Amino acid sequence: MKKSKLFIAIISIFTSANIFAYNINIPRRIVEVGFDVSAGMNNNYFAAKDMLKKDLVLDFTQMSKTLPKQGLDINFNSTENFFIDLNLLNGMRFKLSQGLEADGMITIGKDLFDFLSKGNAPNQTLNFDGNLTASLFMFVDLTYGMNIKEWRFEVSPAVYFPIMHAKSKQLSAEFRNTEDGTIGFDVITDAQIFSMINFDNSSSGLQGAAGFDLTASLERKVFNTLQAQAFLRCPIVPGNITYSKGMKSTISYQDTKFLDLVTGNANTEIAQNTEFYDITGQKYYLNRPLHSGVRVAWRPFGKWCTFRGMLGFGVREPFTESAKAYFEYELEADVLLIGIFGFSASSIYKNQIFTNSLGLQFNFRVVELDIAVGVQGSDFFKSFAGTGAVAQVALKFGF
Amino acid sequence: MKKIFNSFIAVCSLIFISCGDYQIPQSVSIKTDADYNFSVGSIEQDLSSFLNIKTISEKLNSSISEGNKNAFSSFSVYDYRPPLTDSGTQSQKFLAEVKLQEIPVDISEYLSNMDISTSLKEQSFEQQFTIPSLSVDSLSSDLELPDFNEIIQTNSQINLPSDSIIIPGALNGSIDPTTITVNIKSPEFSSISFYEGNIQVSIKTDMDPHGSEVSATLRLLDSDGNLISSASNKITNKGTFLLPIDGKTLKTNMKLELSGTQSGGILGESLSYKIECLFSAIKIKEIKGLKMDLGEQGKLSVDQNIYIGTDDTFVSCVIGEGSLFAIAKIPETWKGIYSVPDLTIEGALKKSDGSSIVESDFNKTDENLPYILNRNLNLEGCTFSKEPKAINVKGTVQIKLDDVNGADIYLEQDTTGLNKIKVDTTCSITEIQSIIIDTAKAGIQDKLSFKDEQELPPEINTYVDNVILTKAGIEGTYTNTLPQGNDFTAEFSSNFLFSSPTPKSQVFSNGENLPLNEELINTTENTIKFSESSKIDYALQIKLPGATSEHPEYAQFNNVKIGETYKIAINIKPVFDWKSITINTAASGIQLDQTIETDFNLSAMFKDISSSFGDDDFFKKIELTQMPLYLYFSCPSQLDVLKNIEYKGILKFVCGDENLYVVGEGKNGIEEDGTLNFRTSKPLEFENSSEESQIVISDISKYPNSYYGNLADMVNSTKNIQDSKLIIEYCLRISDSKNEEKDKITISKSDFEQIKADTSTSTISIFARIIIPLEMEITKQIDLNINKLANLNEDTDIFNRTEAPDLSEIMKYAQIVESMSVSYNSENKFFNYQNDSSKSLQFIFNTGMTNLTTNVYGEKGDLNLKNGTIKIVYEDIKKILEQYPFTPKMTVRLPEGNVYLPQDPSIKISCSIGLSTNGTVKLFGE
Repeated sequence: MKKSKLFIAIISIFTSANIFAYNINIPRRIVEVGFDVSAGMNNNYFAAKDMLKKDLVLDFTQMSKTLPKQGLDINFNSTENFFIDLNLLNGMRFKLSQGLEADGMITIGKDLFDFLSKGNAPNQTLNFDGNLTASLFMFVDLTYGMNIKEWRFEVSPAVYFPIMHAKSKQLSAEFRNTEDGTIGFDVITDAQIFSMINFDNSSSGLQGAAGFDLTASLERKVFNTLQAQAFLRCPIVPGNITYSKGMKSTISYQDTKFLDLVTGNANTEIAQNTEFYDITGQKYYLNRPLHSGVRVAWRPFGKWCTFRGMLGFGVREPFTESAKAYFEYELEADVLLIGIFGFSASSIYKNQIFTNSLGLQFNFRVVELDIAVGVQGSDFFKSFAGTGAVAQVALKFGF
Repeated sequence: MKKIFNSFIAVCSLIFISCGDYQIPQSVSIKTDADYNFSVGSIEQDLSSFLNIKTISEKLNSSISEGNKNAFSSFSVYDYRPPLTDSGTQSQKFLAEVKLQEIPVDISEYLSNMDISTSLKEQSFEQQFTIPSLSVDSLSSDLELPDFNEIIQTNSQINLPSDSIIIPGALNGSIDPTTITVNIKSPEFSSISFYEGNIQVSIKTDMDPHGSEVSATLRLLDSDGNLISSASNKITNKGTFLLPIDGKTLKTNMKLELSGTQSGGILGESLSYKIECLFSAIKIKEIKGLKMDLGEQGKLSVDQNIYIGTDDTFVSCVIGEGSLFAIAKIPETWKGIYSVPDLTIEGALKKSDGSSIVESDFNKTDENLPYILNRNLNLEGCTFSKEPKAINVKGTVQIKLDDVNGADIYLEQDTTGLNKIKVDTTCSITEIQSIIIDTAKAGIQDKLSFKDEQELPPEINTYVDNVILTKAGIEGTYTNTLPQGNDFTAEFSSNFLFSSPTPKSQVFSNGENLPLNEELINTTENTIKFSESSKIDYALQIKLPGATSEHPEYAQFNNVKIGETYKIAINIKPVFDWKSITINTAASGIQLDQTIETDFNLSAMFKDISSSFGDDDFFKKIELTQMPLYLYFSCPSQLDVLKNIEYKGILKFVCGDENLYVVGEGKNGIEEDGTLNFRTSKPLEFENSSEESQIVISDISKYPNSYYGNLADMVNSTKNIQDSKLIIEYCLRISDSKNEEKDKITISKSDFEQIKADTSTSTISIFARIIIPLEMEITKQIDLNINKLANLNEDTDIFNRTEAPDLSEIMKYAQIVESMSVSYNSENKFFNYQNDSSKSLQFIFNTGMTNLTTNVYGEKGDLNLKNGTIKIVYEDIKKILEQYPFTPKMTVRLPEGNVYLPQDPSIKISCSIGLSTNGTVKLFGE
């Protein structure tokens, strides 16, 4: 009996009065101008509570046991977005936004931590490696949205400029110690930077071709309280980068007999060499990540309370040999009391980063201030332990 | 609603709960529990570098080559690896073999195998040589034409028929214009145009002008009165006017007009002025109708060297077909100019009679305008030589102008252009009649002659009475691809073989792989008495055509083609045949005394090993257990005449004061003759059936021998005697045991041929084989210093520190080290103990410190050389690091007992350090 009542209650919530039917994103102003800034940094091992204490102990044994296979990741991401938004009462929407997106990741291979924690076998050649990537995009989006009967359709063609993309071709270190007492090492850092800015003449402006991608979404209500949306951001034309430069730095110590070192007969000079080189070949083409998925917004009590969910996938550097796919999700609860004071809580996995944040909203119609802080990490559970942090500020004006 | 709110609060709480009591870190520590391993290195010593075939061979043979020149044979040393027997060991052994005496029965084979024959074979050669190409030489040079600016400026005469003017004094006003005719008298021309220049007009009077001054303007007019140029100046007692003629054209007849105003002077006194004209700083554009004798200014010198490239082997050639061209052309626009050349050619190119090539030798049919040179020279029959290096074209070209119509000359403003004309000279030689090349530079001269002689070994001169040769000389083939008429000859001479100094010769004409003449082989029966002929002599002389007494290295070849490759080759080898050989026996009173002295001294050989281990008494503490000696007396015993022969006399090995009698014996200082009986010997068997492997695999202890002895006791007893050497002394004679009165044994070839197939030897010989096994007894414990082996100075800190270290900082971190282990292992190809498993090499590590938990490791025999681990606790590590200088001593101890060195002996000790860490160490902060 109780189960029947509960079922009826749930159904009634999903099928409440028609006045509860709203789009996934409900505009708060007809005309709106504002900016939205967020920045975050995280890693996949060190939690804030481990790092921010009086006596910091790096337990290599624990690190070796706990770190995932790829090693220690350190990520950063940042978005700056300026926008003008026009939301007409008939559901038609025009939005122009312009901004920057930056992200990067440094990976230190797990072999280094294994060595520090466990040691090495006799005569073992030790190899350590790592990885580095960073990208900076500038983009201009133009969003057009409209309602067609019970459907809502939005499309956002975007022009983006891959201002800079950096990646490591090689980050490695090799330490040799053979049975005959020979020791030697090579540390190689080979990084390549692709940029639309001429390294030799930065005043010449951006050189290269902008990329073009298209975001489209289609939504409709499922129930009066539940709105569903399918979306896709798909690169159409990759941006290309004209200028490129490589930098290879090597630090090496030639194989030398240890006994010669002891007797002073060995060359103790460590050779260092850094060279810049031109990357020949074709221009570097780069797309923004592809995103696709399904998003829902559930407003069981009216538009003051929204539960959002998203499940989808992303592909970094799509349509290239370096393409990497991953799943994405968003869970968010958003409450706006009397249309003025709001708060939100969310858990998001996007661009391979878990972000759990809390936000506050102060909406005075003419002006709105949104603030959110959160924790980040590439590991879901550790992200709650403070392996990274993110902050977001948005300020909007309009009427 | 409430539930939803509560849920939201719960999620927020979960996030915040994860936050704790945060602080900025004030110290950073690392925590580890790891085992780090580090290979220190290897100490390796290859003992075979001290004891090997080469070093032993050098010791055995060094004195033979210097002190015993007559010794026929030398020691051959091999690695001796017989099959392992039950009682044997895989020890390193060497086998030394030496022939003490060898009397050839098959004398032809013997002679063919002598060194002199090898040398003779080396004179065989195949030489390909290419007739040097004579590269065509083309060159261009500039011939400077007469400088017409200079010629006109210096030779022109500007004539003024009335060369004076009168100007009245005190006129104080304008003077009447005065016109003077100007006539360029010389050189004769119709017109001259100038790029630039002046006509300098000088007006002067010898009278006192008394203050008269004329402000004058001088104008140059053509014959029709048209202005050409003008200039103004003042005239007092003189005045100079530069009339610019840039871009002007002058003709022979012109006028000068003087006008102006006069002031001063004496009224009624007129001044008479002389006028002179000349050209100044002119650059002529063109001259038309120029007639003049250019004289020396028109005589152009030619001195040009032409080089024809050849290679080093070229000396000279007579040219079959070739030519030399010389072309020089004046500009097409010039007219009325011709040349009179007078050229000679000297230097590397000469006429067939050796004289120089002169003007009349040239073909000048086409040498007409616009060419001032256009000639060629047929070089057929001319001689081109490498020295002097250049063909020198020398002489003059006289430039002359047309006397009748005059010459039209056009010059560029830049005089480096048209005033120079290009002379193109080409010389080519396409065929030659003959060529002389330098065989020395061609690398064949040293093979064209050969002369050598060689002493016969003493046993030949002593034991062999005579041999009758039925054939002696050289045979082989030759190739001569040079054209017919390029024959060369070879002369071969040998007093020993031909009993005459007269050489035998052969002419080698065109052909390939043709046999040498049989005349180079003496087929006359020839009896050689070795007592009279103790040397074998050979002389070979190959004579190529064209060699002169002055230049024996030259060779001349006729009718060869440039660039063609020809081959001359001779393959020769000695050839002998014999009829009989007669050997002296004891009855003839013949015996041979011989001493073979070696530098073989085991103590010296082990000295290098001893010093490398830091124990100079190393060899004194060991004794060789065995050093077998085998002696073989071998001969083709199937021959009836040799069936009963034996050696009699004394043969002994001497080392220091010790004697080992192999034949005969010595008692109380008196030596008595003995007899060495014949034994059939077996040849050595080598690994891979190749002597080049230098590894003997046969067990010679199982071979029949004429004598077996052991040199070990003799060598051991003299090991402390410095410079004690192994010496072989003998005094032997051959005897027929059945007929001791027989003084000669004659062996005929026909008899020998019958038994040759059944015998392995064709000589009567005595040879010895000595086995040197590296098996010894250690009579007194030996300590080998590993520090010295690793080149570590025992008095220097092993960490190479120069002062006592301050370890306070290091020890902060070192406390993380729980313990340290030094591990070592060795590849044991070092001393092995025979038949006593209880004994082994010990490894001892002595820290030299007394305050440690353990200061000497392995002293109790608990560390063997094969492998082991020395564990050092943290407290000891700390003390060791603080110890300065830290000078540990590493020793390998060899207990007493019988040991052997295995094959390819070496010692290699590898060492590694292990660090066990456990704990936390602070890197930064307090």
